[in-house]
Amino acid sequence: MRLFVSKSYGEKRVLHNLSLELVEGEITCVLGASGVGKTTLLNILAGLTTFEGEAEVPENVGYIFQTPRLLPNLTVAQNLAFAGSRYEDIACMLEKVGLVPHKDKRPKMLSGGEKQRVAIARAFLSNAPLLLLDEPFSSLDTALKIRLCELFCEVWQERKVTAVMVTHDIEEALMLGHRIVVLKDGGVALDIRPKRKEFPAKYGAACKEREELLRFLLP
Amino acid sequence: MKKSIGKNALQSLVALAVIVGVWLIAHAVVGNELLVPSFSDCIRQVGRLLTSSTFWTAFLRSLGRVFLAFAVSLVFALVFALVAYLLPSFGWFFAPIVSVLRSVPTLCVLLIILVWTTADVAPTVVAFLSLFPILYTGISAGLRGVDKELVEMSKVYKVSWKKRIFSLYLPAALPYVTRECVAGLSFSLKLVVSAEVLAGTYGSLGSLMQEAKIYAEMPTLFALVIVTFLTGFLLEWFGELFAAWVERRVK
Repeated sequence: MRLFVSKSYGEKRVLHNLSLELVEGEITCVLGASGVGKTTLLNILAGLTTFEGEAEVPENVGYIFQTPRLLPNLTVAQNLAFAGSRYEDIACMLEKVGLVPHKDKRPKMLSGGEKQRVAIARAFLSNAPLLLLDEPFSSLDTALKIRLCELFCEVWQERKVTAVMVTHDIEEALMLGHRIVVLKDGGVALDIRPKRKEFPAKYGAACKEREELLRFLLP
Repeated sequence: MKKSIGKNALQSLVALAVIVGVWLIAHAVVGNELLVPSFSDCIRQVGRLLTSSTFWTAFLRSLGRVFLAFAVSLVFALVFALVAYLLPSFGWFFAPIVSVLRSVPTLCVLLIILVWTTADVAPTVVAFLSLFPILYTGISAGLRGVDKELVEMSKVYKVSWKKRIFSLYLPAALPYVTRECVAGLSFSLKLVVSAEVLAGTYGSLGSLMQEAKIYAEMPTLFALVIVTFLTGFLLEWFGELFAAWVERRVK
């Protein structure tokens, strides 16, 4: 999966000849300042926005948005079925993400973390060859964020699907990313592969790449 | 919700008491049974009407027209609003037609419709022509209010149109639709009865009113108006309960 794209919103050029090749079976984390085009990049990969250039991406993607985006009138299981999953697969996935007792509840009965777990389940159930994550844990407290990152990794390791995750949190990127890309001035400013002993790494664990990332991210 | 329904019922009762009070005063001041009949006579006449088979036949026929006009308007409004939402170019093309339908004086149109159809059919057609643009506008507003993020999510997951319509668009628009329906049903009753009066539709509430007026049976005329008013009130009240139930189901 590779892309070479540019994207403008009116006069404002957000991405300029951005070149990126995604390695299969890897989680690529994308960091960068607000407005640098991280979500635009995901939307190009998802086919949600037009662009100039070329993008060699699969037709089907799983997308975990910043907000869970669940239909309020459907139960957890119905929400998963709405996105095209079969009920046998849903039951199995609900067990993996620990939502079996909540399968017949509507989103308003769930906590923020539980809703995001439904979104994770929906993305994995799509069986798409590419997963996109747009700051999916940004609204959660640190403890819940770590728990959901671990849960994401547990489910991810079963199929090792190619994933692109946009985040503002360096620690989250160091925990999950096989590769970390920093966007700046419409292109890739830094592309590194953090060295670590385990996957997922411990949240906030010592890592020499942190300094380098901070140097690119701090103004 | 129960509190607000209780409060609404209390307000309606107070309004009803004021109307009856004004009636009693007007009757005492005017002192002419032909202009303002006594309240008690009219209530007695309501009782007589409720035991008359002629009245019930006319009432059910009129009510049938009300529901028929309403149901046809609702189905057309739903289909056209959905098409206009999914195909914006159709929406732009259709907008002026809806504006024309909204601004055309209903009872003038009745005269034209009477030339083309019969007095039995014309009230239903007139009610449809008035209800359709109202329901269409309300449903369109409901569809425009559908969460864009959910629409985007359904595109990402390539959800079928059938699923999108029945699980996303219609439930999102449903609270608006039911609110419009509540107002639409009682409005439909008003339109149908008015059109029946003007068209002289045989065996209808409107024609009973027309006859009562011709033979100067003022208590009967007032009793028919009371029955029509109460029917509209009940339709609106049941509609409110239904709308509240729908909102609880989809939110």
